[in-house]
Parts: sequence; structure tokens; C-alpha cells
Amino acid sequence: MFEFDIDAVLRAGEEVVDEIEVFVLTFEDISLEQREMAIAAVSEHGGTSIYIRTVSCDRIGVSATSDPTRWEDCLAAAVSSAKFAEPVMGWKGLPDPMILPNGDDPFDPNLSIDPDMAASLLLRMNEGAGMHPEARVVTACVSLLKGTSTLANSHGVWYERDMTDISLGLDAIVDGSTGYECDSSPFLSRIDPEKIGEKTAFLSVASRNGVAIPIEKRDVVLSEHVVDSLILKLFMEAVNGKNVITGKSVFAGKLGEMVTDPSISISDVPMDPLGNSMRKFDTEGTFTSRCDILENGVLSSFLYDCKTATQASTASTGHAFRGGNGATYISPHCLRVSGSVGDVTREPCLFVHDVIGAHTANPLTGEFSVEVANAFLMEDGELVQSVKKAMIAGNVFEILQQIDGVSAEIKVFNSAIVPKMRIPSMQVIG
Amino acid sequence: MDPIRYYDIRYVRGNSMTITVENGDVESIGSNFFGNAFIRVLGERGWGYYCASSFDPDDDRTKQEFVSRASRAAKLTNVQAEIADVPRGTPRSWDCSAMEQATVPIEEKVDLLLKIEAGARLPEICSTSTRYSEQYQDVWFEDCNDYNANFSICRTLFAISAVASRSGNMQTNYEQEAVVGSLNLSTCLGYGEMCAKRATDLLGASSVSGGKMPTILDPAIGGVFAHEAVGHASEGDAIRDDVSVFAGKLGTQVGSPLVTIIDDPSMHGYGYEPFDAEGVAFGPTELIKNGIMHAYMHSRETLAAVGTDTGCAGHARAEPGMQPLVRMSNTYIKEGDSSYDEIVAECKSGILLIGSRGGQVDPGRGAFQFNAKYGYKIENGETTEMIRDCSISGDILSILHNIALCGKERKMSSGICGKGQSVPVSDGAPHVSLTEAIIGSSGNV
Repeated sequence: MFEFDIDAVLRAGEEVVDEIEVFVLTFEDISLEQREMAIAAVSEHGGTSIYIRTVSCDRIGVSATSDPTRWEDCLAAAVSSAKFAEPVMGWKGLPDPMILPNGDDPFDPNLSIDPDMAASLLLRMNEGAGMHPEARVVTACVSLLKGTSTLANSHGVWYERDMTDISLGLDAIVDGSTGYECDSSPFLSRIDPEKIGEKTAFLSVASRNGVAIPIEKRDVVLSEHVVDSLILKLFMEAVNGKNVITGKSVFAGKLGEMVTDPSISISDVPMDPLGNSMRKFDTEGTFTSRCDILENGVLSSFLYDCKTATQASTASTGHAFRGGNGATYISPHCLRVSGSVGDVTREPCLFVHDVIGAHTANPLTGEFSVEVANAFLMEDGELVQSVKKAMIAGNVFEILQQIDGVSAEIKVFNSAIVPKMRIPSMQVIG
Repeated sequence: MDPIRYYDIRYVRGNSMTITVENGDVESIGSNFFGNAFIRVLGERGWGYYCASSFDPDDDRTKQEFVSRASRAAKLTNVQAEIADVPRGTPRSWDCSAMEQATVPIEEKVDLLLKIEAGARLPEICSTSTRYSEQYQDVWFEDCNDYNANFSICRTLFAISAVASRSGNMQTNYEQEAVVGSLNLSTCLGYGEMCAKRATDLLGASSVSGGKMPTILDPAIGGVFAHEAVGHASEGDAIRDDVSVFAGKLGTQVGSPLVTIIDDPSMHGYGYEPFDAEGVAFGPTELIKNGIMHAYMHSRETLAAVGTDTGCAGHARAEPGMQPLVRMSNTYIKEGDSSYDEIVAECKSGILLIGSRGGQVDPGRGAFQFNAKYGYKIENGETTEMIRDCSISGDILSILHNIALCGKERKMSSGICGKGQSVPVSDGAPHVSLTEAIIGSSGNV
């Protein structure tokens, strides 16, 4: 087996460039796929992803490989690509070694890449689904992952981060009515397979016999999932420092201005102990810290990595992530959303558990029109009637200016901890 | 070792290079070198998979070790899987390795990208970006029956986006070309201006009121309907698991007699492959023929499970290092005999949707949603005011029955399909007229 040597890459790079950085992710995982309530396929995977970045005369070159034996090709490509890149004016260099914040990695020592452990989680999901025997479980999946990321650069940075991940998903159907739920966490103790199974089966059963609703404006409560995949996703596009400096954000030039309802605050809390992806350092070695993005409706910060921060004449906020061909991209670690907490489903509303087509929303303007899935009319906190078919439409940035409360209960996603949101007078097309 | 009824190995090695230009500057030129072997073993009952990053096809010892690992995984399964014995067909021989493109200096490509992007810098345009990528893959396949085949393929993509701004109103547009083989960037020189003009036009567009209305789909969004709504619902795994509105519908009328929808992995579109991820080379499959459910798309496993007379294998596709899944390649609605002018005139009062920002489908419920890039109102049989940010949703079977006219000219568009894995596809259609569809938009009710 080929042994990848980070030091060898650093040494080779230091001979030809001003600065070099290597980010390595090694992992092993196992996935179990269930069909007909039994294990249909088992998949094992071990891998290494290597991202190399070089800097020469303030020009940044990037490259990546999933094949460690090709690291020399990868390094040569990064060095070569830097020659074509525009220099980053004012580049202050890759980060130096720092004392990292306290806190744990998202790592569960009790997790092993063990098919029996995965199979027991599948079984527990099935038991939960069994609470609603009318529902037929179609497929289910459990994945267990264990990995380590290592960041090293020619300034002496050498940081490591251990991680584990448990991912579960299940889908069910009854009379053409479908349900799907998934969850993931680094920690076994935070996964509730029975609840996932029960909720999925419940959604498929409860969504039967839906009624048509008229075209009208009505109060809508968005589930945590919809808030995460639609509202927060588009909000993050607008506070992404790269979009801000390249003229692709409606929030550019609005720091210090009121951009949402004053009840809403949004922060990124990388080491939030409730989160799924605690990070002490980002993928270029900037230490992470709490970043208040929106304070009582006032826009207070954008998110940057080193390059975009230099271009914006500010400091990195520690939000560099890595993927694709090795270039950094900007993303939050663990968003926390706070607002006026209340019983958001006490008054009559259309509750939307999920939507079809969240990814088709306009990332610049915030406009969206999506099909609801598992939607219900609610009164006094109770599901009164399932809705057969409807679309909801609006503008995320306008919606954020008129939030009518958030729920006390929250759900943890990979990069956010999110409440439900109540939106007054939203356009519903039945 | 446990019984191995079948195994195969698919090894994909290659590299990609992406150039990104933002607002007139070269943002980055990144490369990715990849090599992934996917080994799958059909054991006594079900499948075991193993994925390895470093792999030498000539190293028999390592190969056997990986097969053993997949075999051990298969031992854990307890759903009986079978695979249909199908003819492999002859791997298609179109030379699409585009080696000549790889030798063109990066400087030339960068210069052309900068020229194209410069064309987008019109008044009111506040941001422009272009992206060019070329990916070269060598695919090597062998199975336990001494069958082996290989091919080399290149996919090349160019995309440009522009943001227009006027008095606080911002709108964006993007255009792209993606092909199998070489893409001559000099043929894209006009894209900058075209992209920017559309973004500027959108500044004056309005949102339409949502509701049910007669709708015309242009070839791009009509193609997304063919792919998302019909294609995904015709996949053999959805049929096997009885989570498709097309399950049990073979031979029955599922749409207007005007509708014929085909998936064709042999077409030289973005979804082309010389053979599929199971080594099977198969041509076009008519999913719906004259409104009648005609065939499903299958892998060898779903063909065996659903029935060998229910469609064709050759539709299994996979990202490098991942398991084959039944899915589309190049999917389209066949041309009809109506002219564009006839279609618009016949619509009388409704909406014309143009371009696609993607879509999603729930095949079990039969529900879908697609978002258009823009469109026009149709009043008195003519296109009038430009509109923006609107989606179409509906019930698959209802929409298929609502197809009233199909145009004479079909166009294909390239894209990426994400069914757990991302694979390149193309889809297309002629202009298609629907008697009624649900349009979602944020215009006042």
C-alpha cells in the first residue's frame, strides 16, 4: 500500500514556490442499503483526498487528487496554474501556526466501521417505522464514516482534526403518498433511528387523502428542513464574501443596515457543542471563532477566506472549505438562528414539511416558487388536514423582513441549527 | 471464500482542468487527478461493493484482494438479487477522447475566455464570470467471465454568467455549452453579449401571478420534463420498488398520442457513453411511444427483477468509484408536426416558459417542479411581456395527457443529473404546448 508523505510534498514544493499548503482527508466508511426490509447491498470504501495550494509572487495555484500515487502530478499542476492566476494584491501569506480554540472534534470514539453496528441502526429505524404499519418502507440506508483531516503548510502549520459521521435515511410510501426523512451526526448518542423511522412512516400515512386548497395568501410555517435548504441557503449566498466582492450579492454595501425583521439574529458558531461539524481551524489554517452575521436584523459581517478577505481589505473569518479542484470556497460551520420564540403553529397555518425544487431558487434575487411535499393545514398545533398539492412562492429576502416567530424546538443539520419559521401572508398556489 | 456468482471491476482514471475568470481576472486554474476502482460482487444473495483509489489493472494479486473484500461485504446481505443475462453489444467506437484539445496551450484558452467575458461587459452589467473545464477519462471494465472493454472520453464545458443591476434591482443570467469531445471556444465568442443582454432584459421583466393556465414549454424546459418527470419515473429500480406512477402501466395509455419519449445512450449528446457501467452497449429505448408506456430503463438487476420483456438493460451509469444506478443518458421528446407560430397562436392566452434552472421529481407521488430562466406572457395568440422567476409543477400523468401540440424542431441541452451521484446527461424536446399546467410565481394573486 502506498504511504502518502505530507512532508515530501512540502519539501518538494518549497523548492519551487514561495508558499505551499497541503490539506489531506483520509477516511473509511461502510454503507448498508436496505430493500424489502433486509440488507440488499453493502459498500466499503477507503480513500484519501489531497488538496495542494501553492503561492508564488502572490499568485495562487490549486490542484487536487484522490489518488495519492499521483501527488507529483498534482503538485506540478498547482505550481503551473499559479503562473496564470491574477496576483492577489496585498496577499499577507498563508496563516502562521496559532493556538487553537479549546473544544472537541466531531469524533465519537464509540463509532466503529462495523456492519453489525450499521445493521442495528437499520433495524431500529424499521422498528420506528413499524409504529405506522400501513406505510411500506421502500428503502433505507445507513452510512458510518471515520476520518482524519490534516492541514500543513510551509509556515509550520500542522493541524489535525478527527471526525466521525453516522448518516441515516429512510423512505416510505402508502397509496401514492410518500415520506422521507434523514439525519446525521458525529455522535451515536445523538442519533435517534426509531424517531426517523416513525416520522417517515407517519408522514407518508398522514399525507394521504390530501385536499386541494385555493390560490390565496395565507400564513405558512416552514419546517426546520425548509428553513435550512431554502431560507438559510439563499441568505448565505448573500453574505458570502466572494459574492459580495464580485458584485453577486444583494447585501453588498449594506453592512450596518437593517436587512431583516429586527427579531432575527444569525450567527456562525463553529465550536457550538450542539453542532455537527465543530472546527477549531478552517481548511487553510485560520482559527475559527463566533461570527455574528446578523444582529437584531442589522447586517454585521460577511464570511471570508484568506483570499477574499485580502481582496476586501479585511481579515479572514475562518470560513474556507475545500473541494473540487482544490480551490477554497466559503461556507458556514454552524449557523444559529434566533428570533421571537413562540408557538408557531398555534394559530391556523399551512405547515410545509418539505419542498420539491429548493435548489431552483434564484441565488441572487432570492425569488423562489417550489412545490410543497407533506404539507398540512394546522390549527392549535394539530395537523387538521393534509394538502394534496400546492406551490409556495416568494422572495427569501422579503420573507426575512416579516418573520412572525420561530419555534423553540430546533433541528441540527450539517452546518446549521434551525428552528421552524412562521411567515405571514405567503403566496400559496393550490 | 463465499460463493461468488458474479463480479465486475470498473476503473476510471483521468484528470480535469478548470479555468475560472471573474470580472476580467483569472480567478483560478485548477486541476484534479483521479483514479477510482469500483469492485462489485454478487454473492450468494446480494451485492458487496468495494471502492479503492489506487489501482493497477495489471496487478492480479491486488485485484483478487479487492474482490475478496467485496465478497465479504456481500456475505452480509440477505435480499436475493439476480442479474439478467443480456448481450453486451459492441462498444461504440466514436473517437471522443479529444486528445488534440489537451495539447492546445492553456494561454489560448485563457485568452478566448477573457475575450468572451469582455463581450458581456455591457452597461448595467455589474458582474461577469466564465468557467471552462475539460475532463479526460479512461474507463476500463472487466468481469468474471473474461469480458473486458475500455474507452476514452472527454467532456468539455463552457459557462458564462452575468449580473445586471439598475436602481437596486439585480437580475442574473447564465448560458452554457457542454459537449462530449472538443469544444472550440472561438465558436462561443458571442455568448458574452448574449448572456449580458438577457440579464439586462430581465431587469424589465415582471413576476406573473401563479395559477393554472395554458403553457408552452421551450426545448430546454421541455427536455427537463422528459428527464425529470418521465425519465426518473421510468427507471427500473423505481418500477421494481413500486414507487413510480408508471409501475404496472406497460402497454397502457399514459399520455397524449402525440407523445413519444426516448432515452438514447448512443446519441452523441452529453450523456453519451460507449457502454454503460455494467459493460452493456445498448441503443435508444422508447419509454413512451405515441402516448403508450412502452418500456422501462434497466440495469441487469432490475431487468431480471421486473421482467426481461419490460425494457432494456444498458441504462446503468455511475460516477467514478460508485455503484451503477439505473438512470438516463440523453432523453428527449420526439418531434411533432407543429410550427412554433402555430403553437403560440393555438395557445391564445397563457405563458411561454424558456430555459431551465433545474427541477425535481417525486416519482412515487407523481409530482414534479421545474424552474424556468424566464418566459413571456401569451396574449391573443402572441408573445408579449417578458416574465421572470416562474416554475411549473404538476402531476406527471396529467401533464402527459395535457400535451396538445409538439413542435417540429428539437434541441438538446446538457446538464448534470443528481440521483445520489452526479453524472452528465442531456435532454431535449421540441416546443410543447400544454392545455393546462400549474405555474408558480411570486406575482400578486
